[in-house]
Amino acid sequence: MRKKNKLLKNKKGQEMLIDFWTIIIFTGIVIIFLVLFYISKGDVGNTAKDEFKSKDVNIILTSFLRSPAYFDYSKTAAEVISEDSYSKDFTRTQSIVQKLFVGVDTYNNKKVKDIILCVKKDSSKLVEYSIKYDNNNYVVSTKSGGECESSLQYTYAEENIPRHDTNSLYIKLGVLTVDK
Amino acid sequence: MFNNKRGQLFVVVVAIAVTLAIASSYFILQYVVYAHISEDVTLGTYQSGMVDTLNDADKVLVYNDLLAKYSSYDALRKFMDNGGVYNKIVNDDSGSDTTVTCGRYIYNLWNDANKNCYPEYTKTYQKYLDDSLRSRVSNVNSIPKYYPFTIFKALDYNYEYYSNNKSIFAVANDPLTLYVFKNTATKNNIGLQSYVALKSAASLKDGDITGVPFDSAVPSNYLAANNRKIDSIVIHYTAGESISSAMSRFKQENQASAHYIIGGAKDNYAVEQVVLDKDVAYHAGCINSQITNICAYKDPVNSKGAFCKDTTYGNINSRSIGIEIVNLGFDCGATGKEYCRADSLQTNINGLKYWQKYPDQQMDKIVALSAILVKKYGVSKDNIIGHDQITACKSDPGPAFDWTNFKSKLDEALKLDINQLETVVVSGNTFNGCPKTSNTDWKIGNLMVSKDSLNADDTLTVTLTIINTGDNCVNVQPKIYFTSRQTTLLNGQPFTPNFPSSAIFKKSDAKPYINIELKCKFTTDVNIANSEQANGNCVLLAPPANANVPFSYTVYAKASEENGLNEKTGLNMEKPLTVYKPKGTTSGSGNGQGITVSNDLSPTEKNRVDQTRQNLEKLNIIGYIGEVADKYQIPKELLMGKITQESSGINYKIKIDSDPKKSNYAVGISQIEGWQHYNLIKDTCGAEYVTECAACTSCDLNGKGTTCRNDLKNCCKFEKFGNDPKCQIDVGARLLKQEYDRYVYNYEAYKNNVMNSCKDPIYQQKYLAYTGWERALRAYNGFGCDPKARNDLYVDLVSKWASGWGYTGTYQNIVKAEVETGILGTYDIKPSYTTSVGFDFKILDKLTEFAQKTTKECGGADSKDLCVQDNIQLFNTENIPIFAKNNEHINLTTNCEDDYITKILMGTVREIDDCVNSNETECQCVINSPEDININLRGSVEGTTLTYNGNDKQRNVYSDRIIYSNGGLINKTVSLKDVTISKNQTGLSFENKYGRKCAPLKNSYDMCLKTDFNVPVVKNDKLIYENLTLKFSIRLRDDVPPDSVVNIDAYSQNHTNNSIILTWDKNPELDVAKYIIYLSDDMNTFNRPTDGLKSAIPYRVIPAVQGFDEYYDIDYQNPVCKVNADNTGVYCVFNVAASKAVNGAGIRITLEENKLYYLSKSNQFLYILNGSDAYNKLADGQDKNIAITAVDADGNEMKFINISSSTITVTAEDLLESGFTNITSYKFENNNNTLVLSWNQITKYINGKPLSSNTAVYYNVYMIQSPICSDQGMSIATMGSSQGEFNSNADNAIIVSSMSIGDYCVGVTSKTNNGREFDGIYVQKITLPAHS
Repeated sequence: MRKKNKLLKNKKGQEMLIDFWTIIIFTGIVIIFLVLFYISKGDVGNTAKDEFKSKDVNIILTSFLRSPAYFDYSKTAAEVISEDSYSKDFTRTQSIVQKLFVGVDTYNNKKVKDIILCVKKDSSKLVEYSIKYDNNNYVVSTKSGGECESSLQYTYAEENIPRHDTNSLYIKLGVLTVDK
Repeated sequence: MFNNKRGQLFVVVVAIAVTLAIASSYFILQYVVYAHISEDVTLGTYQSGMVDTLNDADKVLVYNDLLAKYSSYDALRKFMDNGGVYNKIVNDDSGSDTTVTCGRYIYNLWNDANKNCYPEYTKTYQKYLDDSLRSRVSNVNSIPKYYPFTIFKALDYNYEYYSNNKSIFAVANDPLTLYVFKNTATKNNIGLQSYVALKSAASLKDGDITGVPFDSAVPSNYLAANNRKIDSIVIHYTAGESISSAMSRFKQENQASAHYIIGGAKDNYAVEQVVLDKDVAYHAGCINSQITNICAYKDPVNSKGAFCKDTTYGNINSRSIGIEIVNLGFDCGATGKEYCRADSLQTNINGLKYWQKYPDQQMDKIVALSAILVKKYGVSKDNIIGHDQITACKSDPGPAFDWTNFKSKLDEALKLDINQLETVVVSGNTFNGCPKTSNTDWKIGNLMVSKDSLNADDTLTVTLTIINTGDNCVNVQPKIYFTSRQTTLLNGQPFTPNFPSSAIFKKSDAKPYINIELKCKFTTDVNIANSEQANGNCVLLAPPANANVPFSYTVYAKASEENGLNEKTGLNMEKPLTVYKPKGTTSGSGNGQGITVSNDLSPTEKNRVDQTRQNLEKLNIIGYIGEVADKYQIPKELLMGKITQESSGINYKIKIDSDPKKSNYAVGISQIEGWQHYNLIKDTCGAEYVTECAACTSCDLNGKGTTCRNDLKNCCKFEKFGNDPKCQIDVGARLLKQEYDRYVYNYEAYKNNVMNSCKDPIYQQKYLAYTGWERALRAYNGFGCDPKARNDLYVDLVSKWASGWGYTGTYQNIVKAEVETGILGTYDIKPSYTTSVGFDFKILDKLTEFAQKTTKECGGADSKDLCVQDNIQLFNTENIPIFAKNNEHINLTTNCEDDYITKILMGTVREIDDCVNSNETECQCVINSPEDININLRGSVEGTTLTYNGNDKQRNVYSDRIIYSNGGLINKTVSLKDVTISKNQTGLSFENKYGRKCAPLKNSYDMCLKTDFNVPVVKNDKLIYENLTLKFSIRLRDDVPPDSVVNIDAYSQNHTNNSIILTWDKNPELDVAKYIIYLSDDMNTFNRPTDGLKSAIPYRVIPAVQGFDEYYDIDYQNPVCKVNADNTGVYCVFNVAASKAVNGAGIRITLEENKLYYLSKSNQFLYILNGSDAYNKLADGQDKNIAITAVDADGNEMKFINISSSTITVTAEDLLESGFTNITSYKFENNNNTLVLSWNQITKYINGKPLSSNTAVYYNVYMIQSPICSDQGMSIATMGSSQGEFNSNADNAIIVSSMSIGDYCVGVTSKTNNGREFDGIYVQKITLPAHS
């Protein structure tokens, strides 16, 4: 003789069983919505984020060029760079770069490994600074070589600024990040 | 329900159903509906395009802000250097500029003579700022690539200025428009840029005549008006070769304008309007100072008219229409015939001989335009005049303009109606008013076809991008050629369809490109293709349904200008094109299915892609290629295409040398030459990939030097690299991305490589047209262009394979519709900036007060120097502390401490000035030149410009006082042309008429307000900061008149009729500019109790600064008069004392009347009042009262003179004698020893004037016995007594008795009724014979 399941036979048991499935089903619905929401968010968000990523560096570069020099508020960083390009002594530029970029450890929710700022006139590199972040230390160095950093691991922004004569300078800012 | 079993089950079912419904809805939406929506529209993508534009705008503003800041530095320097005054350039018409200044004495002069000659600092600074910004904007060398549609164009930069005492706020009047693009890729696409450029091209509107474009002059060059009456037309020539050259002038501030320009041959005789008819153009007026000068402005139409740039009616500008004709005028000069055009008219006008003729086509336009204006405004035909009829100083339209022919044609033209005339005027005018112009600056920028391969029923769009980098318009007529080897229809000959449009456009920064399109259809019907092609329609033959192979066409483009001008046959670009069978038709395989080529590749080509895919799948590497593509942000399909082209996915080595050690081969899937990219391999894949090669060279293997690479080339095989496809892919991709970064944003570098490596112009054009990844691919493959190797096809082939991999990139296939979808909208920005000069302009107010006070107070001071210094000290005392509170330091001084160049220049100006104007005698002009410099002095009537060509720049210094005159009008010309001061030249002198004289008047002081404001200046490519000094001059206004003129004396001048010699002591004051002689019958006239001299009328005004002759002493009371040797008259000379004579030592001179002489011995001036001129008020025997005053350079004159010392009473005397005569015959009578003489009657005075007929004359005959009459002109004192006085009514003969034989000197003189007899006599020798 086949035994009947007590739980099914029992009215209380039936109610419990129904309650159980109800909870399971609604929990499932919630989970499905969460999953769908997460998927949707990821698709849309990633696309937007990817597009915006490069824009952020542009904004940073423009803001940097507009920043007043800490040692002379009447001049912007762009003007200081322009002036330094005549003497080719970029000490002041370096000090501004250090002041503004040392300590920046996060970009786009990622860890900043390196920030480069390169200055070119015509096709000649005048100076390129690197601010590397490693082991909680920042190392500011000057990069050699005839070209500005162009590794694809960096995110770049480029801009031109005028000199006092009729020439322009080319400024390139690059940010290298790694996942946290 | 929950207690009910069925209800419970219902709930469960419903829950499950709802869950399934929601889930399925999501998936339907996500993967069915949304799948058709491009990823580009995903939330955030478009917004990123906007942010992109915002970034661009921000970059523009950063750039502009800095330009403005630098401009403010420039402006402040100029402002300070020019003493806060802006030297306006006023142009009277198209001919010449005139500098209108407030005067200069070293620096800009602040003076009271002109109330505007004090600083208007707000306007002046703004003006300098505007000038500088325009200059900087227009001189930006290259437009940063990142703002392709944001053009810095000077003329667009019109700012509205607001200011306070310390800063200027400027807002651009017109916005700059930036386009918002869908994403960065579309923004960077050249096809899109071309299209947008076309869209943004500003069209010129019509002017007053339909079809005549209106390109307005800048507002400062015309006067906006309404309802003016037009009654005349003035014809000009431009003295240039094209409309554009004239337009450039009209577009500059404060120049001239005209209403219309009629072009020359280069302009295809097009007509443009510059100023609307209703407005007043500045084309025929003059500046105020020219009204009375030699230019003698006149108005042939309305004599009441004024002629300057005022707004009053009557001004010829206000009433006329100005027509400029493009014509060189006397382009080849007066003598240089060899430079003339062949058609020059050789007519000598004012020494100008060769004039460019007006071609018939141009004359037709002039006539038609004039006829329209005559009809419109009722202008009389006679009121069509040339500019040369208005002023003698203008030559246009010149003798080459045939007025007779013009009037004749005009009569005929007036028979036409206005519409007909307009047709004539606008013929040659073109689209949007852009006249067709030949130039060499255009080129084919790109050839685009909508598809590289297509089906037979598709339509092909061919788009040709024309780039015009020149300043002129161009009308490019493109030609597209199709050739095909597969169709017999074309027989291998190119088919050239009619292009429906031509590219007519004017270059401007905003529209350097234009796209022109041709639509071509395909048909499988040979007859249709034949007939359509015969009509020039672009219909091409497609392969028939049963064809085994597609047709392959080659499309290439050429272009030339319309009318065959400037044909550029060398510029063509080829584009392979493949046409497949029609859809739905059966293929040769007989499977009955239509063939649809989804990826536009031929089956063979598709097969290659498929084979590559299989090869890569075998290596299990396709996924990795995708990762690498993402890593380097390269389109995956493009990377696949490159691999397909390089290796078809086969890891093999090519160019294997017989020597196994050598490695000069390309390796692997990416075909990388390891010896070339040692470091790239090392950096990308790791040092272990090149370890094996380390032994190949002793070099530091950092890729430096050819030797190192050759070592590698001859030794290392790069085994590890060659065996790792992933590393090969990684290195290849990285290299491609490097080329992208290197060249996509640096066109110049790319262009240089192309031009250096590829010498074939066809391929050069092809390569230079590449953008984006195409450019990167070109660089990856190298820049060479061997026509045999056809390495130029590399990019095309990679693109083709990429297409096979599904790449839908933007290379060359941009068409209008696609482009339009790439633009989301526009974003306007209005540049604005605030410049804070850090310098309180209020100081200018205080300086103005100082200048006014000082010029007034110190002019008449006993010690001007002391007075000026006192005032300076007072100024500094009052102001230095005030400005010091703000950490601003100023100091006013007369010690300007200019640099040595300035000092030399200024010194030169001063020395020249002094030399020319001085009346001092003992100073010397010395100019020291401490370094190797050249100074060219170029003099002119209206000022002198010293142009210094030094080490770093050119400077101009002006000295208006070179032509100094006190009368206000220029009355003296000093020519200083081509004077050169050379190295270390000292003792340089500038001489006036009698030698070097210099003595500064010292009425003018150079002032410098030294400040500690500094601005950056670039000198010799170094940036330095210089303190600013405000420089200006003041000229003391002398209120005190010179002292009385004393020691006046007067003498009747011998042998003259009532002339008076006046002498007086020189007034010792240095600034005496003139003396005035008053003449009156009544002494009281000179000194009336109330107004003193005011009521007296000057009889003579004698400039005393220059132009007088100077002698040590003259015996002016005792002239020595003699008869001319030919008995034609008499001359009187005055002895000049030899001692210390400055000039003319020991000579005898003739004193001229009405001329000033300076007698340095007695420090006296001498002046002869002419008693016999028409205005003579000196009458014989009558008393006259004379007063003499001195007037200084500021016009000060004593109002009340000292009667006792400054006046004299004279009585004029007629001391003029009648002349003498000569003996006409004589007769000696032996019998009574009697001599009978006959002579001519006297007819004139000794000064040559005729005697009146009723003047009684008596003759005296003088005779001495002498064998020699050595001097025919002798004094009668030497002739003894007169033989008798004879009445003039006698028979002109005397009889002298008791003569003995011998030689005699005989002469006859005369006396008029005043009894005076001239001392000189003309004697003749006669010989009396012996008694017979």
